[in-house]
Amino acid sequence: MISRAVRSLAAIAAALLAVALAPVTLVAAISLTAAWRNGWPASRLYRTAAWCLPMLAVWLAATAISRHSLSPAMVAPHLAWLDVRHRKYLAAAILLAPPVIPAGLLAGGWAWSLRLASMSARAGGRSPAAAASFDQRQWRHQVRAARARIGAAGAVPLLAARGDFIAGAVIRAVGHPARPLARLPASRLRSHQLVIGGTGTGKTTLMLRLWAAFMATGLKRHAAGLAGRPLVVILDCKGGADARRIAGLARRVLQASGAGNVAVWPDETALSLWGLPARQLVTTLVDLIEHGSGGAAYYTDVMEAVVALAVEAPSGPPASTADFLARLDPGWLTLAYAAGGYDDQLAVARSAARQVPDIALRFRTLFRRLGPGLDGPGSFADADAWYCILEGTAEIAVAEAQARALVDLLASYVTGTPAGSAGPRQVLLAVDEFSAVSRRLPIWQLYERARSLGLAVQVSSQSWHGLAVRQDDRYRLAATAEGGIWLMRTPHPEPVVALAGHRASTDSTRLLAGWLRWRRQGTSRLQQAPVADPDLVRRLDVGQTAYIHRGGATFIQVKPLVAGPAALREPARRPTSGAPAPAAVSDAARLEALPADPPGASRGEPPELLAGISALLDQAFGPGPGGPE
Amino acid sequence: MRLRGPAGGRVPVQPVPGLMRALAQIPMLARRIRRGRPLRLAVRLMAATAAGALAVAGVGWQPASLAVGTGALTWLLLTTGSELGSGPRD
Repeated sequence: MISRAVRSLAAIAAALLAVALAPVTLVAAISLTAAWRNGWPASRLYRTAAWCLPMLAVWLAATAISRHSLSPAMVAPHLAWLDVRHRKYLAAAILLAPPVIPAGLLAGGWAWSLRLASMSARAGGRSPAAAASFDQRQWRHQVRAARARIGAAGAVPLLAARGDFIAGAVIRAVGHPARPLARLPASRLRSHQLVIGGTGTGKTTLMLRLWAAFMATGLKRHAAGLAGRPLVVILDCKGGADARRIAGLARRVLQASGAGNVAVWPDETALSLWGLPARQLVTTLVDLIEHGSGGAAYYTDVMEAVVALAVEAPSGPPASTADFLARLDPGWLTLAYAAGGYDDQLAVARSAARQVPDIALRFRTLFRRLGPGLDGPGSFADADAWYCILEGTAEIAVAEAQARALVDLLASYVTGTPAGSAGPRQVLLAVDEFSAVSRRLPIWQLYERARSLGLAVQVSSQSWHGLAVRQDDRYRLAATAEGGIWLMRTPHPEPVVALAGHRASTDSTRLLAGWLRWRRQGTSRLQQAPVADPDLVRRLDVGQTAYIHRGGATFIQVKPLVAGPAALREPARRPTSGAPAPAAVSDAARLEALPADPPGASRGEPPELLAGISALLDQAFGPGPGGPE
Repeated sequence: MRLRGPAGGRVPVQPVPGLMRALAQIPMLARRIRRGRPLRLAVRLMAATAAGALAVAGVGWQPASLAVGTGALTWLLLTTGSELGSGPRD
């Protein structure tokens, strides 16, 4: 009874104070409404109040200068009241504005923070369900405000003044700073990242922005002499017409970010598998062919021995597919090692003579299916960005082999290229639709060791299960994504959300007093709530993502980069000599105009620098044939 | 333009780098205005001007009217960026 009376008295006192400070109350009410409508955090109102300080300072300074005292400022409310009595409302408002606006904003921010805290503890509202509906309503308001923010022409640049990367407008932040724009340090782009999201969720839009930001920040670092020139390698493992459309978009976006040359593989340019060092070439060639385990391992060993004989022949490694296939002949192998000093190799060649035609048949079939894309000439040094289209939807086995070869080529390029004066190249390997090749591309092995190579890996998948075949590998990928995880709408976000961790939240009960009536009495307890609400992730709209990093989550409305579809030519047949196709003439011309890149780099890696690469790649990718089980 | 030096002679005036940089930004700013939302920008500009003018019309040149003008200018500077088009970094 007494407590009720105390509460009533306090309410009356608060009401009287609100009436007495009517102008402040009015500003507070307006700011509270604005915060509610836009889903702002209370800090936004406090920040706005802080930006009123120049106004307050000018008011006080001008008063002190003109009246030689600050006391006239103290009587401003009285003067305003006199103006109100004389119906001079405008004059009253102007006289009161300098002190009242910041005070009202502070009061509004305080009231809004109380409201948010009570709703977060599920203690506010008429019913226990009020907190849930309040949260949903606030989410809608926050989304609307974020969309309006990215709709403004220049409000969301790609890079901030200090070189930070801006992904879009913040919808809601949990455990991260609540800023209007999602500003991330550029170093995150140079770390491993994961992008998970279903079809039509805006995954490509997000990745285009990430690639463009990597290129732009990389070029800035290169210009400042902090690192070598950036290189973006994108493996589009889906293929088809859509991949070519995205390749056109990527080309425009990357060129707008400063990339001098963007190559589209294999439609317009080719890479040379035969530039790999001999020992690595053997491993790569054997891994291109799918082979079994158990009893089939015997044939794998025979194949590896024959391929090693063909590649490591005294006359040097093969220079092309045709050269390699010509060597897979018992007569050629015997003749190649007939000279003295190769007795062991000669014995192997003779004992494997019966299997050599079968091995040749398998490789002939493989290279026919792979096409001329890996038959050179060309190296990753030739362009600032490579968009590699792998037909993972139409021919999954071919895409797997191509992905394996391309990643081996890139790893060899990264390890074999001497660092320029500014340092090693900054390399981003983005594997889009990784599920198409995850069976035979154990990228997590590269993922864990790539940082030492100066290589950032960005893997995207439609779902958690598409990341890898085995659960352990999925967790390895997710746990080593130091650059953060971009989680878009997906039906099973729980494993990723669990990685974001939990936060302490208050849960309150309410006493049921009658039919749809609840009393204020109840109990509260602390409980652990997920930082990123999985139900919220399931309901994300197109272009919305949850960025998970270091135990926090920021929900972001991604700002699409403005780039129309470029006119990509139809896949052109390249001359068998391996020269760039006519379709790529303009690119090749621009490529020739580019300076040597990076300084000191050459297409043919010096053998002494490449010694031991095979061991390194074996360590990275595993020496065993086949992919993960 | 030339200025008189301490000895009465004329001394050449070196271009001020900051000023030159600011002048060089003008075409860029014009391009950003053109590529942004000029109509909204004009409305913002008019609103800020109107707030200042109303303050002066309401109470004359007083500390409060100066303060309101400062507040309007602060608001304009803080919010104009969203109406400009993309800059070179975008």
